[in-house]
Amino acid sequence: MSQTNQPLPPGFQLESYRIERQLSHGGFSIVYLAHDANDLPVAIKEYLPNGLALREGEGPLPSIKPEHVAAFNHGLKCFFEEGRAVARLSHPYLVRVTDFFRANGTVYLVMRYERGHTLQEHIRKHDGPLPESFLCDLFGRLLDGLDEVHANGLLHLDIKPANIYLRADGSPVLLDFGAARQAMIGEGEILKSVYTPGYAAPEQYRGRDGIGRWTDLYAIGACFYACLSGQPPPRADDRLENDTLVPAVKRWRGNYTSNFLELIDACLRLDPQQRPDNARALQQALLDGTPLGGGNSLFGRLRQIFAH
Amino acid sequence: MKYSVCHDSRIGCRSMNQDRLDWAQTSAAVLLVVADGMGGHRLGDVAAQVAVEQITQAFRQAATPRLESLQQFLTEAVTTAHRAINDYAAQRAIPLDDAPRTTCVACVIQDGQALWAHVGDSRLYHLRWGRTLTHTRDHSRVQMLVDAGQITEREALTHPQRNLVFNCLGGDTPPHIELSRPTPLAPGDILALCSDGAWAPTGDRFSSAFALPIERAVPFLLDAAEEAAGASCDNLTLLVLRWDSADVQHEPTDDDPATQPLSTVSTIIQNFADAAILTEADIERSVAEIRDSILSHKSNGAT
Repeated sequence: MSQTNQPLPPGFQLESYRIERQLSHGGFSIVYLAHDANDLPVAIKEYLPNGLALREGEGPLPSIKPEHVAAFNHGLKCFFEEGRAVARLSHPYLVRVTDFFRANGTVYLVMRYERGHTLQEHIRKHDGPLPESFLCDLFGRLLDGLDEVHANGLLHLDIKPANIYLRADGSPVLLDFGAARQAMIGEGEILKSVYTPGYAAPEQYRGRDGIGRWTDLYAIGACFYACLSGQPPPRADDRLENDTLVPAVKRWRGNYTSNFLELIDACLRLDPQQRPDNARALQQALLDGTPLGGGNSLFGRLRQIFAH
Repeated sequence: MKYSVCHDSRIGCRSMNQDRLDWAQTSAAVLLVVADGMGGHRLGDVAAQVAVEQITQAFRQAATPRLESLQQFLTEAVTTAHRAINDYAAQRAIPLDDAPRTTCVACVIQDGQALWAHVGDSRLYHLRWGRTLTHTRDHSRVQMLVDAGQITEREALTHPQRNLVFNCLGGDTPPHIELSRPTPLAPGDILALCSDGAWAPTGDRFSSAFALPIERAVPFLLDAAEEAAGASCDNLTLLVLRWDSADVQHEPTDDDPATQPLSTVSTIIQNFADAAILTEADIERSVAEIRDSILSHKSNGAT
């Protein structure tokens, strides 16, 4: 049941692309480093759900058992959703899709290959908490990209340091838009939505009701927290039972500005209504060093209107 | 039909909540109803309860799944509610002039059109793009003064006689049921039904809160109304429907009137069973669509 798929071998000619090596292998897809016809590097994501489509040695064509066709097709639709979503986005801080095609009985998403390392690796390598100026600059730009995502009516739903890439020039790229649409195949082919404990907002544990921009902003707060502590905050479902999260204002008082720490705590509120209203409002508060709700967020503006 | 519903009712600073709300749906029609039992009379809460129950029950009987005529349904259902309140009073030997009373607003939607009826000062607001297209005119003393040009809408909000309602369900005077015109709904339209406790304290700012998604606008408005009304806060009830589209078949859920998911999360997979059907042509079309989308960015010079 849990046999893993063979990746396409190095040197494999996939349409106009030549596979160099496998970069990662998720339960849902394999990501390769390849070169296009102009010999420029690209990242290619291959839809190949483990346990549903099996590629074993011989040819590139995976075999799909008849009882798995429905689940495979469901996943395929999810992959199309991801393709449709990212194809609509064009922003310097969002992953750029350059091609999408069918081959080998499945489908492929081609993205620009980004050199650098993930924020996750950066946190691990860096000794101690990351400085505020670095984080404000990084997230100030990233929120620009997230605002673009939301402006297109999309949600990321799996923002975490491992999905934030830092280019050599220091600019960020938000990767992996598969989460919202992607499905994970568990025992008995039950398809679940993907989320990462610690970064997922409480509303994500309750299915899809109540999910919105504020869900991505919780994850942003969790990323900040991880940049300071090296660890994500406690799981949101555990926090609902018994909240052991030490507020950022308490834990790092004196080491960061209080405005910065308050913004982190605001993002990590369990009640979505208490979080910043949108990425733009958070970005402004972060960069201007002004508190939220002072006319920045829609919620804050409305509060002012109704206060008189 | 595709739509979201969100609602809440709060006691305010009163000793009991005499507001009632309910909503019901079939695959073809939706009913929304709010009633505000009148405090100056006995058993206002009973009147509101009977009205809401009667109208909802009438809907369940008449909508199979379509209503034959929206106008006829509302007129008959609201009239029946009035009689049911008086029957209740008669059974308990309460004189008719002292019967329990309630205001009421009810709305039905079918074929992408809404029609509503109201009696008293419970209101329906029809909003589009954050602006009020229309709201019901109260059957109240202050509304008459506003209509006569003697006071402004703003003055009406604080007028000492603002609670005087001259039209209601229950009692010796048959109600005057005011019907709206059939009103086509556009995607994103908001229908907000509320008791005066929910609209009066925030007055002309009411509509601006609907810049928020409805599940945030409802608690926001009730918080704001409670704050503005202070210690004299009346019961507050708000029942909001956000219209998405007429053409998609609405899956009737169980009876729990929970908030339906919003359209912002439409990219999330909904139903595994539906997804299983994927033809060769579907796949080709999806791939072509995504390729076109990528190409359009490239040709726009965005790199």
